[in-house]
Amino acid sequence: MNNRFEIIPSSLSFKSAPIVDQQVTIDLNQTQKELTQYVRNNSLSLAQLYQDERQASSRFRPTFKIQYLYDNTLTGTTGYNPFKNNLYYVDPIQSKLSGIWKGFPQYYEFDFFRPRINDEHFDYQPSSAYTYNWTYYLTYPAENDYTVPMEATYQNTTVNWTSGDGIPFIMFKSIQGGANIISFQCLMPHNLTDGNFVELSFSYDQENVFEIFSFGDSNYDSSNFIFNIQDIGYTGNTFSDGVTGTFKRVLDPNNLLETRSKYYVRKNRIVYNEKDIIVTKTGFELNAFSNQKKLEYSSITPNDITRISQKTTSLTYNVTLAKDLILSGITDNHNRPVGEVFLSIVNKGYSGYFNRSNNGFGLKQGWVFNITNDNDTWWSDSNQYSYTNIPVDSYTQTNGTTETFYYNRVLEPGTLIDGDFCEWNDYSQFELVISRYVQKIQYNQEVFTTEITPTPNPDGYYYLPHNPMVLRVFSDYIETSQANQVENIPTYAYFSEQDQQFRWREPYLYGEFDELDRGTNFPYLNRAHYSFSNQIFRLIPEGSNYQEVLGGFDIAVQPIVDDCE
Amino acid sequence: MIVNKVQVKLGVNNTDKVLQIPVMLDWELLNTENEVDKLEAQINQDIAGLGIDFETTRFSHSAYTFTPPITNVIQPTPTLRTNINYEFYFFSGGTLNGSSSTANWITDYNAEGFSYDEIYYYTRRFTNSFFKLDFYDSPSQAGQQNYLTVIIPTTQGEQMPVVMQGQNVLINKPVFSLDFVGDTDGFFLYWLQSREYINVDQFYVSCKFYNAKTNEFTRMVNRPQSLQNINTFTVNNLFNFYYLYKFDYPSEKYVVFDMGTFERVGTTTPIKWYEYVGPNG
Repeated sequence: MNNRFEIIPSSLSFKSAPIVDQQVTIDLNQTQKELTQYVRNNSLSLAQLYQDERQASSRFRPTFKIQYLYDNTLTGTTGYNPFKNNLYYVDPIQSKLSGIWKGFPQYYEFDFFRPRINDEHFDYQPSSAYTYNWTYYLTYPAENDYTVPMEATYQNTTVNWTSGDGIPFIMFKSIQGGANIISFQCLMPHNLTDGNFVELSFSYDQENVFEIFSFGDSNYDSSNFIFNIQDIGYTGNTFSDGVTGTFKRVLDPNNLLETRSKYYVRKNRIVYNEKDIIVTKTGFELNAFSNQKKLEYSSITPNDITRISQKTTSLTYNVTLAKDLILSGITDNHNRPVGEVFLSIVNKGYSGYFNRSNNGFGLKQGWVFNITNDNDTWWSDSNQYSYTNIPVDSYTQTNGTTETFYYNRVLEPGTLIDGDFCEWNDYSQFELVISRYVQKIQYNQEVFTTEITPTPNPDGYYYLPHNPMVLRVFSDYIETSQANQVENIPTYAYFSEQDQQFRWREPYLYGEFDELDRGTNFPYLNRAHYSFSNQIFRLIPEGSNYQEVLGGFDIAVQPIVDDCE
Repeated sequence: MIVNKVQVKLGVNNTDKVLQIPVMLDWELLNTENEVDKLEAQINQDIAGLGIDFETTRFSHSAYTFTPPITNVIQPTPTLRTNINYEFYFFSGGTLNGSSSTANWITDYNAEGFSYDEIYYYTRRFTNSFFKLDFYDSPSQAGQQNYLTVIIPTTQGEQMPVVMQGQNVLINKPVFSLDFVGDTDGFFLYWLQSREYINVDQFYVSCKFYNAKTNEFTRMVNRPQSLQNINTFTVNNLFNFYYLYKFDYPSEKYVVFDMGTFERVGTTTPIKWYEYVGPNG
């Protein structure tokens, strides 16, 4: 081995050189190091393996058990023989005399399962038994729409706004505990809490953020619909009785931009449609309501045939997927991992009783606040905003009369359908459903006439199509991290300029529950989560006031509320 | 002056000197432990193996074109049907040989020893009887494995008129039209949805009838013995005991083929099973 260094004793450096110690300077540049080899003992824990595999899995096999509650309440008349001959007649003797047969369509026009009916109306396919009347989608919240036109009416006052404006109210002045207050009667639950502020859609002296003074009035159960601010002597007409507007929740008026809530309509994206969804009857389970049947004697039927007619059923159904639901790579409307999916049940009405076409659309949509005691004007045919984006298809039959029958088309996976009216706050990282999404079916008055006087707003039935299943729950606390510590911060975290930190809520592990008993724990086997959800699907007849009474109840004695509630 | 006891002297013949300097490093590469943990988890996973997906899914009968019979009123329009049709023939007595004897196999439980009263009143000895379809991976009895069994109960099926105690009544007969609704037992075949564990996409299906009255099984064959050319009692093990059921995994459908002709059956051409009559009756 050769090198270019020579070590010369100091005494030989020059003549009479002294003998001194010499040093060799060596640079040690080490860029890697072998791992220290040692024995690692590790117990093979199947429980731990199961847990690891479970937490890493994003494969789901959901099952929804749907109790279907409906009442068949609207009677009508028709000249189309297959319909006329199969009604549940209400006054057959009178009908026999008049020749105009009046009754209810039978249960199989409403039920999930449609049996084979020999009514010569259409060629029945047993494989479609569960998809003639209703169609089913598995959806998840994917986008937000801040521009949806909305309308709500309270005591003859109608408020129009768009979803991004916030929550509408009607203002009135009052006195509470000796103090002058300005009350805001909201047209849906405001969900405000102590310490919140509100930003109004109008200003007083260039100020539009106000602190909440109190909730409710003297009526029982009004606190979630009314909030009050102190009237410190505002002049002018800004705060007058009957003024309408909208508000947004504000957590901190000093950090308005970040703590002001956003309001929107959630858009649900279809993952699977009816081709990949299996509906079956749930064994022998029935709901609490009995079936209504009766014998129609041949002498008082239009076709002189004796038969049994049935008005309602009480069946319960199981809905499962033919394919696995894989959620890896899918994010929700706030860019978070999908924590909730929906079984979206949408009317199809293949037999054609419902869904008269209006520019190619027949199914109506709104929100719970649009269900009022009187048929709300929102549902009128003249309101183009009350139609869904689901087009209708049609076919024509002649039997007694010639009729065109419309039914709602089945949407393809990837399509967006409207959903609940929601609130989101970036700072608190929390989404709240303000009013659930509603669809309404109305009889096609040309086929089956239920209204004596023609009207653009016939009565009908309401239902809430989106039935939720919670797959993961986000923590009730907010995780924070400084701006310079970006490791392990999820991509959906919100960065607060004011605080200079990231904020987010962490999804709980499967099987983990917090102090509020929030969490999910589904069976895990076959490399999949077998998630399940029990839901009640209601078909609400016209005239049922679904939304809670906005003004509360004016009762002298407050009802006792104990743990049972 | 720095003092130490190391002296470097010239070697003999100016040979090179080597300095051995021990170097102690007290740092580690970043996240080494995490990497080791991951490796450890992977090794554990390899040892324990990944869970196998044993989930089943339902296979339904694949649709076929059906043209309704011509009537005076309506021009028949071909439509799709999904029902699967079975006919089970029992030997009612008489001769076995020759094509004319084929009529001795009839679709009537009476030929299997049930009285009309037992059938009409759904006695337990009748309702506890059933047809049993066994799904094998091979027609060769030497190496076949039974993976699946489907029961078709006698409480299902079409009906036929008979005279019982002087009255015309309808009783069940062993003719079945199974579909998504109505008679559904035996229509859906529940089988593994993943092919990673058992990769089979066709089954050879044999049939037996369990008679709860006699507590005996009756073997069925896919053609009447009257059509056997050589020996009435000798049937071909590979062809006459089976129908072929083919599964299509992507669509989750199945199709049935005749083992002799390899034509699709179960459609307008039903799957026919005939009682096998042994030499001793």
